[in-house]
Amino acid sequence: MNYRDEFDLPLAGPDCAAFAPLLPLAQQGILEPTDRAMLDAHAAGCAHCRAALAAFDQLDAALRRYVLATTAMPPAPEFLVRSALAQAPATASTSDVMEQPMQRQTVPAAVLRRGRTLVASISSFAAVVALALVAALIFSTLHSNNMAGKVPHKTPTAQSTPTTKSTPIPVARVQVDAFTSVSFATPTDGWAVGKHAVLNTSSQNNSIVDGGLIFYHFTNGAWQPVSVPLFAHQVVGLVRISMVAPDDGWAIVQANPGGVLHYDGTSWQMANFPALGDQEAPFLIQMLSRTDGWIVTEVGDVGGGVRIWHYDGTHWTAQPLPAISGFSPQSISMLSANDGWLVGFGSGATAPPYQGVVLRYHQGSWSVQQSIPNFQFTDVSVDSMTDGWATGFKQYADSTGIVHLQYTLLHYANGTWSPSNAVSAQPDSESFTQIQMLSPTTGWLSKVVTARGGVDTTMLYRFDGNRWTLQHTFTSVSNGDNWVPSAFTFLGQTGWYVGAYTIPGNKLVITSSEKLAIYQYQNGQWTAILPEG
Amino acid sequence: MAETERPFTLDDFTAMTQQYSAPLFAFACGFLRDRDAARDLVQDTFCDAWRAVQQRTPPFDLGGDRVDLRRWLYRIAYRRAVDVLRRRRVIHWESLDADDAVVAALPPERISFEDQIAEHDVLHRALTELASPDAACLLLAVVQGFSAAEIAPIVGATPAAVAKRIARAKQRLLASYLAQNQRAHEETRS
Repeated sequence: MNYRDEFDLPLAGPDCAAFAPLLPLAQQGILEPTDRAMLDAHAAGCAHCRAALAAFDQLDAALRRYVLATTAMPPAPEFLVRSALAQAPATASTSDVMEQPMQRQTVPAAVLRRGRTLVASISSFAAVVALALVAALIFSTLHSNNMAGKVPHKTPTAQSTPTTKSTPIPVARVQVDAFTSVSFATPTDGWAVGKHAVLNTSSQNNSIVDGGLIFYHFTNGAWQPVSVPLFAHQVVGLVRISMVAPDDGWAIVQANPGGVLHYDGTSWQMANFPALGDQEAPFLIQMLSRTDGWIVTEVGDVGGGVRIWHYDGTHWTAQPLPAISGFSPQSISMLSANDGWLVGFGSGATAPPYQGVVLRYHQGSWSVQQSIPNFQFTDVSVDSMTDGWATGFKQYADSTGIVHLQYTLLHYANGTWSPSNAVSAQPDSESFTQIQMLSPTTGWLSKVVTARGGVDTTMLYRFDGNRWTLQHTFTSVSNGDNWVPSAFTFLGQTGWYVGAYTIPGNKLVITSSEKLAIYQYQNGQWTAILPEG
Repeated sequence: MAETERPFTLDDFTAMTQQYSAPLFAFACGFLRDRDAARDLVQDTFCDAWRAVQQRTPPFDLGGDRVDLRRWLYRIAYRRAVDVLRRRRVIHWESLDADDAVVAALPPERISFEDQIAEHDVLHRALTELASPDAACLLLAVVQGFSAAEIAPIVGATPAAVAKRIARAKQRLLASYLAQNQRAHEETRS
C-alpha cells in the first residue's frame, strides 16, 4: 500500500522500506536492541519514518482511549466472587479465612450492596442491577417481564460451566430490606421509603421470591411503618420520594412497569401520570410545591432515552430536552419554578466515551449549560442562582492499562462548573454518593469508603461556607451503590440518614441480612433510631 | 510462612477479582466488541479461576505469583473469547505472511467530544475487520502492556508470530483509521 500521496506524507527514502516492518513495534518493547538502535538512527534523519512513528504513537493513544471508553461498568468484583462461589462452593482448604464458613451460601448482603463507584454513579435501572447479585436476581425476574437486554450481568448457570460438580446445599431464605430515599416537608413530618426483598439462594440457584415497597412515616415525633400495598410482591429498583407538605407528596418506583405515587394526606395511591413506554421507568423526582414539580423517566439501559415531565398542579407534561447522544440523567436540582439543573452524562450511539453534561432550566426551556469530557456527573445541588456543588467521576488508565475511577467534587461559581479539591477521594475505593446544599454557606456531602471484605464506611462532610469538614462517620450503614443507596436530608439543624444496617464485623460474602436503618441528626449529634437495640 | 508458600485463599481470590476484573473486561470489550459478552466472559473466567483454586492448579497451588496469575487469567479469557467468536462464526485466521507496511501521519491530537465519538466509531469498525488473533495480540500489547514473550503463551503462538500479528494489526488499524479520517476531511472540504 502506498499512502504517501493519499495522506501527504514526507517522501520515503531509499532505506525506509527496510525499516517499515519495525515501525509498528517501536513502542511495544518488542524490538531487539540492535534493531531499535538502527531504527532510531535512521529516523533521526528521515522525516517519513518520524511521521510514521508519530502516527503509530497516536494510534496507540487512540486505541487506549477507545478501550477506556468502552469499559464503563465492568463486572463488580464482589459479583464475580459470588458467582464463582455459586459455581463451586469454597472447600475447607480455601475457606480457612472465613469467619463463618457455614454461612457462605447465604445471600451476601454486603456483596449485593457493594456496587462501588460505578454503581453509585450510573443509576439507570439496568446499571443498578448490574452491580451485584441481588441486582442480578432482580434482573432475572424483570427479564422475564420483557426487560431483556437491559441488564448486562447473567446469573451463574450450570450451562455456562458444565463441569461444575458442587454439591447443592439447602436453600436459604434471606430478607434484604433497605431505605432508599427520605424527604421531609417540615421538620416534624416526613417519610422514608425503600424496598423489601426476600431471596432464595443456594449454591446452584438464586431467585427473588418476594418484593414490595417500604414506607415509614415520621409524625408526632416517631417513625411508624405504613402499609402501601402498591407493587406488592413485585421486584422494584429504586424508590424515591419528594414531599411538599404533610398532606402532599410524590414517590416514584422503578419497576417494570414503573409508577408514580401520590400522597394526599391519607394514603398513597397511583398518581394520574401519563402512560410510560415499554421499559420506561421514573428515575428522578423533585417537587417544589403543590403546583410545580419534575420527574425524569428513563428507558432501559444507560442512554436508552430520557423524558422529563413537568407538573403544573393538574397535569404532567413532557418537556423538550436538548438532543444528547446516549444521555443518562443522574440528578436534578430545581432552585425555583424558573431555574434548575439536571446533570448526567452522554455517550456515543454505540458506546462511550462519556461526557459529563449539565443542563439548565431557564426561561421555560432546558439547554446544555456545560459539558466536561471524560466525566460522569452523579449528583448536583444548587443553592442559589450563582452557587452550587456537584459530584462525579472520571476514568483513566494507568501505565499497565488498568482502569481507575476517580471521584471529584465540583463547584459552580462565576458561571462555570470547576473541579474542587475541597474534599478528596481516593481512586477506586472512595466515591461521593450524595450532596445537599441548604444555602451557599451550609451543605452536606457523603463519601463512601469501600472496604475489601468488610463493611463500607460512609463519611459525612459538612460545609460551613468556607470549608468542608468531616462531621460524622457511619461504619455500618450501607451506601455507595444503588441496590440500597442510602440517603440523607437536612432541614436547618435537623437531619436524617436512612439506608440499611449491616452487621459489623462480618466479612465479604457471609453477611446474611440487612435491617432498615434510620439515624437522626439533632443538636449536632447523630442518634440511631433504627435498627432498634 | 512466606507469602508465596501459603495456600491460595478466598481472600486472595477476592483481591484478584478486584485487581483484574476491570482490565480483563477492557481486554474482552476490545476483543469481542460486545460489552454484554465481555461481562459474561469475565464472569466465566473468574469461575474458571475459582475452580482452579479449588483444585490447587498452578498458579493457584500456592499463594499465587502475581505475574503468573495475570498471564493465567488472560490466557483463559483469550480462549473463552475465541470460543465466543467461533460460535459467532466471525473468527478468521490468517497467515503470517508480511503485509505492505502502512505508514502515514495522523491528524493532530483530537480531544473534542465529537471527535472522540468519531474516533471511537472508526476504531470499532477497524477492530472488527482485524483477524481475531491479531486483535488480541494488539490489545494485549498496546492496552494491557504485555510483551510479545508474555502474549505468546496466552494466544498459543511464538513471540515472533505475536510480533508479526501486532505489526500487522497496527498497520491495518492505521490504514482504516486514516482512510476514515481522509473521508471525513473530504466531506468537510466538500
